[in-house]
Amino acid sequence: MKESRIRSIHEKLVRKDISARDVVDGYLSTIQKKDSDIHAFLDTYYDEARSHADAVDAKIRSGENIGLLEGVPIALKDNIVVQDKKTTAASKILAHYTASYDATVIKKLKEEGMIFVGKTNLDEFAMGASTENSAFGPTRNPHDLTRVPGGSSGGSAAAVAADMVPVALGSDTGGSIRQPAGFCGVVGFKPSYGRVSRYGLIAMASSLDQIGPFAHSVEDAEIILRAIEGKDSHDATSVAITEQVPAKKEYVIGVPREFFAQGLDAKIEEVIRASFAKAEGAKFRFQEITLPYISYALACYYVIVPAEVSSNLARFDGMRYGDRADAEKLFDVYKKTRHEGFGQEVKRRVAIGTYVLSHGYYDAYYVQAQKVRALIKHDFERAFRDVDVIAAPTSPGLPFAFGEKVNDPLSMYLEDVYTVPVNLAGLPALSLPAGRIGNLPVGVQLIGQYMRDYDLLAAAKSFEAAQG
Amino acid sequence: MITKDEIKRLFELARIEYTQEDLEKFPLEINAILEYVAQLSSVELPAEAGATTVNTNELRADEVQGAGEKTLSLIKGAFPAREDDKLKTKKVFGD
Repeated sequence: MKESRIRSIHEKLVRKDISARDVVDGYLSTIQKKDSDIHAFLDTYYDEARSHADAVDAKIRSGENIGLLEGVPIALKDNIVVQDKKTTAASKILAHYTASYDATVIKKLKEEGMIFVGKTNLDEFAMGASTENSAFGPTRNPHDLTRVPGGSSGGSAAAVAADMVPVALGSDTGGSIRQPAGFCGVVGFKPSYGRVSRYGLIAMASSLDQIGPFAHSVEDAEIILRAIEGKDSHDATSVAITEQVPAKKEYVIGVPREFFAQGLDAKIEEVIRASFAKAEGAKFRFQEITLPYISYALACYYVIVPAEVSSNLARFDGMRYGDRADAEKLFDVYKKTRHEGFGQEVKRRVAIGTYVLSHGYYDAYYVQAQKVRALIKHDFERAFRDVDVIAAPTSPGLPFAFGEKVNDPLSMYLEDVYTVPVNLAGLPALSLPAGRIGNLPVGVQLIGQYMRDYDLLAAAKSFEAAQG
Repeated sequence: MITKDEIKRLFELARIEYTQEDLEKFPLEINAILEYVAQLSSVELPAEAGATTVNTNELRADEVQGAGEKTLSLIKGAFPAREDDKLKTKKVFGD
């Protein structure tokens, strides 16, 4: 099994082999060395991270016990609010915004004693698959600086991949954790919808958004999940966790025929199939399955998401927070503020959302998409009667070069073709490294049953171990 | 197909100012996306197909919880324009 960086740091701290200050200084010096090239971070908290580490060390010296996550550094995607810290969502409209409260996940991680190292880059309001839509410049892929790290949580993925932090938080609406994890060669986990509170996550598409971890191993992703999950009265869609510790040791893996059809790079298919072959045996049995409505998932997603975006982003009008443009009349203040504050992709989605929700189009687009969404969800439910886990590629291609897709929104959307169905159905899924083509990583995606996240993670640990 | 006039109308509804360049670019991009999503209309729905609902939607009691001094001062500090403790806006009524 892959070594848990969290456990390794914790054990060294407890044995006094190393101080929390040494751990933090080590990561901060890597950030100083590498981040001018990679640009994973939008903000860093060097001084606070160091004094927090000193406090943990004092606690250890005085003989007190420390928790597993205490003194372990973490980076946070900059669409998660932290009280008294700049939170921009990589948008110009929030360039000078300081958050007034802590997101629920932040509150929980503070209670665990994790050390916040800084905020990571993303596509503006998490809309994109490359971080090229960030108002503050893109992040570069640590494996090849001429290529994108994926997105929208590209900064978090790159920060973990480049060892600037052991773990990071991202958010996933249609693949925004899994796709960059695949592109950067790390583990990225999207929990079941409702598992982790969305309170304090700047909303993109509320029926799909979910916070989750990036890590070097499945075990570390699981440790972070345990720390951040749980019902929260501030998120009406959050769910109480009743899942028991998984007992299963053998798994039937469903391989959807539709995910290996046209559009998938042949070399990527080879790497994915080779990862299956390594796992096949005592613990895993693979069988082909079919998800008949899955080919409509992306179309369905690009109706529902813009619809939710257009209403969620109505709050950014320059009145109560964010930057405000000046004009004579109130209505013109709104228009100018949003014109100057939003980037192209955000405007595109707000316009499409406004269109599909407008009178005369609502039934044809939005209601139809919701019905198709129910069919896709049902496809998965039926498949899970015969299999325990579903395996698929994370992305149809390798990390692409800057500028390759950014002017063709539809081709950028196709990046998410294997990840969006999972969000539509609210299922847990993760991407883990399957191999490489040249120096570029390829991710394999494992999809679990609704609210059986620990079952999925247990299967993923075995799958990970089989990869060697 | 979305026309330039419809783009103007959508941006007006969405309260976003537009430029001439926007009017040239957005119809092309948005039409490409709408053409793609139009495949949804060809899905044959089973008779009993209903719209999906979220699994849980449970509201907490509507009670004031209070925010604390620090939160309040940060909220006020985030106002784009203020006068003492008050948020400043343009005139809402009149003209």
